[in-house]
Amino acid sequence: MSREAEEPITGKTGPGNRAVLALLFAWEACAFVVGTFAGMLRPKSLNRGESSRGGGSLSEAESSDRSQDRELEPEHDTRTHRAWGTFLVLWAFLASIAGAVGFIFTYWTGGNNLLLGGTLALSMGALGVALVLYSHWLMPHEQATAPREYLPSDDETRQAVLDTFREVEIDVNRRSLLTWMGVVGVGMITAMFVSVMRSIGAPPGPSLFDTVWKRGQRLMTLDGMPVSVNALQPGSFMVVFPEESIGDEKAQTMLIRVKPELLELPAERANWAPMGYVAYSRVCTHAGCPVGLFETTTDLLLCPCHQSTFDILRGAKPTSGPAARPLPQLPLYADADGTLRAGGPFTEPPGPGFWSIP
Amino acid sequence: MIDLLARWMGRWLDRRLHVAKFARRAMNHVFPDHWSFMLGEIALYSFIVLVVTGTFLALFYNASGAQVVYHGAYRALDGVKMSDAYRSVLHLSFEVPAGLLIRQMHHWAALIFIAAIVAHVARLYFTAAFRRPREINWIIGLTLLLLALGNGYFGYSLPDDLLSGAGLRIAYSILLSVPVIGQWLAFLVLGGTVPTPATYPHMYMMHIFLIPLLIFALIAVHLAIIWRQMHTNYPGPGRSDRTIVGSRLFPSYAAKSAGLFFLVLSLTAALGGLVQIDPIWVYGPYDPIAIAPGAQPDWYLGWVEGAMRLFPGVNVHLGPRLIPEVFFPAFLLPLLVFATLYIYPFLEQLIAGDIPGPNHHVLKMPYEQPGNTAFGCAMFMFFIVLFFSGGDDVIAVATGTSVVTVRFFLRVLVFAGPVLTFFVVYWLCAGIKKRRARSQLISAELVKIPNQYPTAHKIGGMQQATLD
Repeated sequence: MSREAEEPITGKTGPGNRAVLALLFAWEACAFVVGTFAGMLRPKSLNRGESSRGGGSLSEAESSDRSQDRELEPEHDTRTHRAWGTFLVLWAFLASIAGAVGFIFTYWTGGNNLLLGGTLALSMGALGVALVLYSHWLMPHEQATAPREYLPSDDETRQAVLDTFREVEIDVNRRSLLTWMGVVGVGMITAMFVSVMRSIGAPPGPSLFDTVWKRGQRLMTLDGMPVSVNALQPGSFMVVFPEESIGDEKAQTMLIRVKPELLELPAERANWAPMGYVAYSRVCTHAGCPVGLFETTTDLLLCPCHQSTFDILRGAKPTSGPAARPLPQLPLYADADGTLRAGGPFTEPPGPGFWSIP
Repeated sequence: MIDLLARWMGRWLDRRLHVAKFARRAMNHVFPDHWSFMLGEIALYSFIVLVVTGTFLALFYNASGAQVVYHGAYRALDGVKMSDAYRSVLHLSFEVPAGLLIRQMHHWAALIFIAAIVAHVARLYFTAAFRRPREINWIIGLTLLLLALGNGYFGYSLPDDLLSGAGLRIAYSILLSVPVIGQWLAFLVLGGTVPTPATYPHMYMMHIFLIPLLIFALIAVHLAIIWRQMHTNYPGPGRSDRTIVGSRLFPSYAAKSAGLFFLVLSLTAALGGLVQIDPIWVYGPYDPIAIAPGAQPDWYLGWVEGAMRLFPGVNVHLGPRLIPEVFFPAFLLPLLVFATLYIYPFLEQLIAGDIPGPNHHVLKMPYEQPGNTAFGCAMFMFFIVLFFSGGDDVIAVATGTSVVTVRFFLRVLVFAGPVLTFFVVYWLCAGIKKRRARSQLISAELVKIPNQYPTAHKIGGMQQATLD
């Protein structure tokens, strides 16, 4: 069964619906074109350019009588123009009503998402077009010119405000003890509110420095199976966890087996890789994504988020990309049964860097 | 009948609130007619769509990281373990009538909201509308952009799907990387080491209450200031620093603006109904072990993602302390970008020697101010290169080269591109400016315009009017 069939609401529609959709799309396109360019459709003669309804001179503009302006525009009332305008607006309103009826019908009969969106778009778009058409065809068109307010206040007012303020200021300055008490009071009230933030939860800190693994812990798969030294062939990898925290985000570890002779680990880590098994934290030191991709041919770990690469043969040192710190390594040893165990914690806290990391 | 009712209502209100005086002035308030003045309106109207659709979504979303096993209408995920947040979004998408439509409208409206703000800021920038006295509104507008970006990100993260979960972890590492206060910042914003149960209530509260409230308040102040200062005007006949030309609020402008509102609503409905967005059931629930190659954030954060990919792996050690590599491209760079934008009006005043100077109400055309335009274009080029760097792996696959090669070219381009853009645009603008000035000088003599229009753009406008 295909996935489409399983999506009753979002799924594809039949040919009939598709035709309706095509119509809706076409209508939408028309609506936007007409809505946007309605002004340009107006006959040229009706475009009246400059008629300063507000009056040419600045002083009378604000108070000019609106009824006078209409008289300036006789050609606006030509019959054909009004008839056309009325016809277009009527048509748009009708489309809007049709869309709304369609939406209600679709919704109550078990709403297909496409039709719901289409009918809603139709009704709203048609209403918008109706309003724009109304404004362009049936309303008086003028270019008004109005004066701007001169923004700065006059000097007298400003001086008055300043003087009133200064009276209090002088008084406050004289009583410096009270002023200081006020400042301290505001400070303490702020501290009071800030301290309540403690309620949000335990502060971060110790958990960030956790190096997760402990010596002797067995390496486990996500299914909870211990990992033996025969689990992998050279050139392959798996994801492992400490036995107490399987599935934990911070504890996820890449276990890779390579040919032992290829390894160039630092001297102090020489015995950390029994039989060519190396283990590194799977949390990227750059931005915390899982470093989940292993390139067998180059022995590189690749982070899929920002394409940092880490050389697993050399202690997971970053070789390209934005990461700067190596992935923390996990020392390994094989016990008497041939089960892989952690030889100690990660070399560093896993995950992205922060201010107080060692 | 309606007339009588309006008369009665008007009298009733006026007696109590003295509204007629204000209404008379308000109806006569002049708004310039130009399509580019609608960008801010589109942002405003998509915010309204966001509030209305978001209210509906909030009835169904459950901000809980608690693990549940899914048994719902979407059978492909039957029996899968997931957070209750993710389950509630699946329920909303598949079982609530019109739920998917509203959810997709919400997501589309968020993208349009941010796109409209960016376009609006660009329009203001390239026409020098940020000059005195509009610096305050420029700053408020940028703050609105920042809030919109943050809220978009939180909204994207709330469904707790595989992609948004990975994004959340990146956001956590960015906050954590901030010197000194990083841990506390990550703790305060995301509730601790992501993923943690506290993350969803934290983000939810900010997404549906705190940030929308701030946006609402700032929009109110923004509009009040626009009302007080009035709009700018493009240069043309009759437009000066003392007058404004356009149509009056009532009825012409009000009808057009209301029409635009319904057109924006219609666009989001069409997109929400017909174009799938963020199909979280395809991605699956968040799983800290799973990887999602080829993941990209929503478009508006693509440049931060790109910067994170291009920035070289350098750790800065200050004694025993560390500033992680993520800090520079993902925190410091956006900080610098916004700081530059915030102080730009004041910088421009310094450079143009406009201190002290008059208030400017007539806009400049981009070619009239080559330095400003060139710098803006260079900045855009910078963002575009960064945006494409956010898909360096996709480019590498498409061109059949290695990511390392692609990254090398992008690292060069991110510096070379803007510099080149600056010089080319400067040269173009300066050329156009020169040519226009010359032709206007000639035509001014031909038409014999009286000498009362001293500046070039006003002569240009006048000349156009005469030819019409």
